Amino acid sequence: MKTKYKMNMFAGGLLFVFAAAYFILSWQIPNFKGLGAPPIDAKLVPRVWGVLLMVLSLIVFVRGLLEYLRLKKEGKLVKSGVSVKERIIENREVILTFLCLLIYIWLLQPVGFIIMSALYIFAESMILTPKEKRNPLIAAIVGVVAAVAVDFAFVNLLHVLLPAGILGW
Amino acid sequence: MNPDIMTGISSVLTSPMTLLFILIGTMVGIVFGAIPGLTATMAIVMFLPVTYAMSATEGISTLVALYIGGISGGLISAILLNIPGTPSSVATCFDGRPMANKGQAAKALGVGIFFSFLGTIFGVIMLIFISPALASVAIKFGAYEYCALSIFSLSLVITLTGKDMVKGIISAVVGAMFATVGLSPIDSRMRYTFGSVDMQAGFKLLVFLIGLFAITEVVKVAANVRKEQNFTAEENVRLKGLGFSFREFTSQIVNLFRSALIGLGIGILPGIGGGVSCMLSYTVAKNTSKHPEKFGTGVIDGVVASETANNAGIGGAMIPLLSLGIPGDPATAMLLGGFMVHDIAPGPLIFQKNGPVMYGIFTAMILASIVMCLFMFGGLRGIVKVLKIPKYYLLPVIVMLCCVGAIGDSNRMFDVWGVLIFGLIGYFFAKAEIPTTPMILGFILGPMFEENLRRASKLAQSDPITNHPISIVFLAITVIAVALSVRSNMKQRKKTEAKE
Repeated sequence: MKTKYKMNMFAGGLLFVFAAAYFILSWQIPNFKGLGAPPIDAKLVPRVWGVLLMVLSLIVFVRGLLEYLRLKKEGKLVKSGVSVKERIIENREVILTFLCLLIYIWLLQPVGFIIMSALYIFAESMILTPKEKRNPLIAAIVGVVAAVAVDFAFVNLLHVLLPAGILGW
Repeated sequence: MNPDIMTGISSVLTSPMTLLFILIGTMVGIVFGAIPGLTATMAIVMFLPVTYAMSATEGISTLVALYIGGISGGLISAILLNIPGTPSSVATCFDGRPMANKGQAAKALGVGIFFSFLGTIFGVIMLIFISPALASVAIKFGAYEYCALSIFSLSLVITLTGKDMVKGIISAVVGAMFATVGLSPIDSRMRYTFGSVDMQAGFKLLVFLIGLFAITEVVKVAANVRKEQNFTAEENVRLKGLGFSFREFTSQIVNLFRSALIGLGIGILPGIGGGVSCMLSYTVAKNTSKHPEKFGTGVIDGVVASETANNAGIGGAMIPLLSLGIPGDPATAMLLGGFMVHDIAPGPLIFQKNGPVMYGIFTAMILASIVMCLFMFGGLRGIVKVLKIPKYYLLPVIVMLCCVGAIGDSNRMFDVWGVLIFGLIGYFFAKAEIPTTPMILGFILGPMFEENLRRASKLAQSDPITNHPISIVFLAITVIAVALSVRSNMKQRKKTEAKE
């Protein structure tokens, strides 16, 4: 069986930190003291969510911890032997996908919709295509055609404003 | 007769543009449904920005057409590729593929398409009758009832979506937390805005859904690039007539109604969509059959059960969406986003405020199911060809359109960043095996719960909860459902532990 304790401990821990921060920040919510204010103020429900998530994430964390201790006791704890570097290489397409999206969104406004979309589609389809089927020419054509067509259709026909960027016409 | 009905029907039938959009929507939906990995939800996300400039009837008709097409298209790949095109068609593979192996692919497709059509029509008819009735009951609902109803729906989603209840609740609570960003209900206090003007308006449902579904789907494909994925499609399929005989049809009538009712019922319950209803209906059909041993070897009963149920669920899922404003699954949540874009607020008042649009939508749904049936029978060979369009070119284009949708909703870049953030959260949740459907419902129901809880707290002195038996019933059912689910969860856990 695949061991899940690492993910449970990690997810539980991370969610707990998030919940605790959310809970503490609820003190920043200003109170409404005017006439007709409901007895339950704007802070209560967020605090309920915060406490609930803290408890639940702790359960998930403890579950992971118990499994870890059990495996340790039984001597079944095996080091996966996968380094961080290997992990990154193993998940390179996922990381690149997020990176691509980050750059796309970041530069969308300054550079403009058409250029960035064409570049994004080109780059992302290269990432998603299995090595032996990669064809940069087709990917570039798909990118340019799709970006120009969508920009034309939305800006001129559907009146949705898209960032024009450096091509600002 | 209610004049809205005639206005609604004629607004669709006399508008060539609306008819054209229904046609295109259904066809695109079928293609999306047929391509494994693309779903009805994705089809709706992609087309939402296109509907911004349309009228409400045109826009929403297009979206429901995509929904109907998307749920129906899955059967094609289930039978020809042995991969369900959408989760709704999982059970179609069980008998559809063996039929194709026996050389009966045409019959399997014919049965699947025709019973999908009947299932959809059944669901839509039920929708037409039940939703106004439910709306007229729900119109009497006040703060107490809505508060109880939102807890009830949330508890159903959590108990029904996954094996792990703790993770289900986590997901719902995280959704509710994101919904608290912005101005609080009733007294408009700024919450978690960190001084940003953009944060004041809060996160949009649409942005939330795009990030969770479209982005995570792309990432899923990215994660499997180096894994071999070879499937061969049966291409030489010719449909003659309907593909099955009249006698075969009459032998399935009981199965048809039973499966349609199961699909409808599951559709109405929030949180569980077509994936569960087709499995359940298949299992029931098998257990009540006179020849259960033949299931799985290629009998039409299995295809009928699965395809009728998932399509009947379309009308079912629309019932709580329209009359209560509570979507049952990701696809209807997306439709809710579409309604909001067109300034239509689903809920008990919808028939009074937007009567013509409602009846327009019903008309569009019936038209879309007819188009679906005709297009799938007539254009099958074309659809099979489309299945070959490589997804690696399609997905990046979809992501671009999603970003357009996010920008276009309220013309701000902040929403595109939201897409990225929710995409990351969706990926993290998938890795941690936390289901995402409860999160969507939490995002929608959290604010509904809070607003009504606070309103009720104001009323408590003058109008105590004892005056509201309906809300007490909802709360009681919630407690029972949760208790039962906790028990079965514990049993399951013990079982798996014993196995290990």
